[in-house]
Amino acid sequence: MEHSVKIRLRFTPADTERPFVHLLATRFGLVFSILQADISPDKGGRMVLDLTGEEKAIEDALQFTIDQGVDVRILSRVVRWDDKVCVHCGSCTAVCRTRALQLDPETAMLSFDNARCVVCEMCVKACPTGALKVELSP
Amino acid sequence: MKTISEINEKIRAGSAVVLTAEEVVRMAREQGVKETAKKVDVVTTGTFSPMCSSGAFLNFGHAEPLIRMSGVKLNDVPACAGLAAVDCYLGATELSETRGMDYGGAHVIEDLIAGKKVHLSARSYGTDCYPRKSLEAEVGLSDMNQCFLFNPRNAYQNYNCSVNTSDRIIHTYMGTLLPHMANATYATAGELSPLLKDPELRTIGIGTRVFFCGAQGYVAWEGTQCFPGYTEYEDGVRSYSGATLALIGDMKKMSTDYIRAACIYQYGVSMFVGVGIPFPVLDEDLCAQLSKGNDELFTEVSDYSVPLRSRPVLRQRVSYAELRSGTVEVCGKKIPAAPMTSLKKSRDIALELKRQVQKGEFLLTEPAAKLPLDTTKHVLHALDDPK
Ligand code: SF4
Ligand code: SF4
Repeated sequence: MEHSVKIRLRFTPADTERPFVHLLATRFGLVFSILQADISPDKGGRMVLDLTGEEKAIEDALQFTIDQGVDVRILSRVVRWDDKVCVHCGSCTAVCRTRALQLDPETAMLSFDNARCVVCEMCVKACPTGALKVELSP
Repeated sequence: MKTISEINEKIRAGSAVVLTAEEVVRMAREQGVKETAKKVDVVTTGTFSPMCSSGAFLNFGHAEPLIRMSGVKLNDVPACAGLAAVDCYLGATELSETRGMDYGGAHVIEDLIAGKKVHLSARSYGTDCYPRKSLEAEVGLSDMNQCFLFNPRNAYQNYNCSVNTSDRIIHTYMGTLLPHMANATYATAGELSPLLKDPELRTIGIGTRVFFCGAQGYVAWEGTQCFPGYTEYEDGVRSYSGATLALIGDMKKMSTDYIRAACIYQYGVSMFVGVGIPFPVLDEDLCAQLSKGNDELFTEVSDYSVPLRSRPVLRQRVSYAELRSGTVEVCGKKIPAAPMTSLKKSRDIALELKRQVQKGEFLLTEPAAKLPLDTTKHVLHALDDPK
């Protein structure tokens, strides 16, 4: 069965010299997408990845990450949007920097693209109706 | 030239031509204002925005033995009971004594309109004619006598667009404003916004019937802080702002489709209020105003990191078309702009009102009195003001 997990990696400047992400992708046969990256060779930085693949492969990849000494955290929390509660005001779009939350220019309705979400949880506070909540992912 | 009574005749006969404000903007662009004024009888508007100055008068009916309530709480939210025995006024922004900013007067109002019962707890000092000293009850709208919203300030004509130039995040009634002007928020439905469409208040006054949270409500008075005025730009274009309305309407006829409680992070509780006003197309002048689109309606950009009476204005003139595009330019920087007003709900209201007028369920009104255009603005002088 395919699984999907979001992880946050934190690199030291030394880590950035290794082709770490390349190894992660090629060794374990995972489909991955970079949701956020903010890295510079002199300062290090952080990256949020979405990994999809067999459960075993994901586990191995995470172990590999730990073995490599890269700081990793599984973002097991997910943001849920309840479209029945939502009034489409757009307040949440003011703080969503990844544009996971967007208002459709035609219908003026909100849409939520979970794949783009980096679980910063800014929108949860900004939503006046409680339509956005954080849940632990299954 | 048409009159309101002629238009009402047409509405009764089912032959009135009714367009929403968005539709009339398109029609005037295609066919011209002159033709549009001839063809169209009514233009409907709508807005759905947080409006803090809202609240409800409730009458509970008398209990046995009688009580003259002096302290009233509904689901732990205190209401003002300094009225007759079983009357109270529940303010939308009043916070729950147990749940703080997560629940307030607006939530009680929403729960009641949704058909839920709320817990009433009343205290009294007891009098000869009202001996009871305390009372607990579960009450819903259908158990009570008159319940009406009376919102002292709704339907702001225009509102500024907010940014934050400081280096820390601020949480305001205009939403979360990121540091270094990383975002902007605005709170008007633009070309759908009621009072931007009759900017000189020619047709709207005391007694005007309006769509109010799903019910037919009325303009009760000028709104508090109603200071109608305009800014004239160099090219002679005027941007109107400052008018507000005090609205009244029967809660028992309202629907949570058009009124909802709002929690504004670290600011408090507010209420999304849905208001729609139908405007009679009396003549070409009015039609020209009604046909103004988002690119012809403007506001200014203010810096909310300065909590003073007059906040610094960073840009004098920005169109609703630009704001609606999702990006606004301020001080040479392009920043994401997000609304606080639901365009979707504003549109739904204008469409629903259109449907009601077309069906003859909603007639237009001649105002009983005009709203004042020459109000004077006072500020509050505190005892510790610097001399
Ligand atoms: S948590 Fe909310 S604000 Fe943050 S990325 Fe996800 S949707 Fe956007
Ligand atoms: S802030 Fe909440 S209610 Fe408003 S559009 Fe976003 S999810 Fe919907």
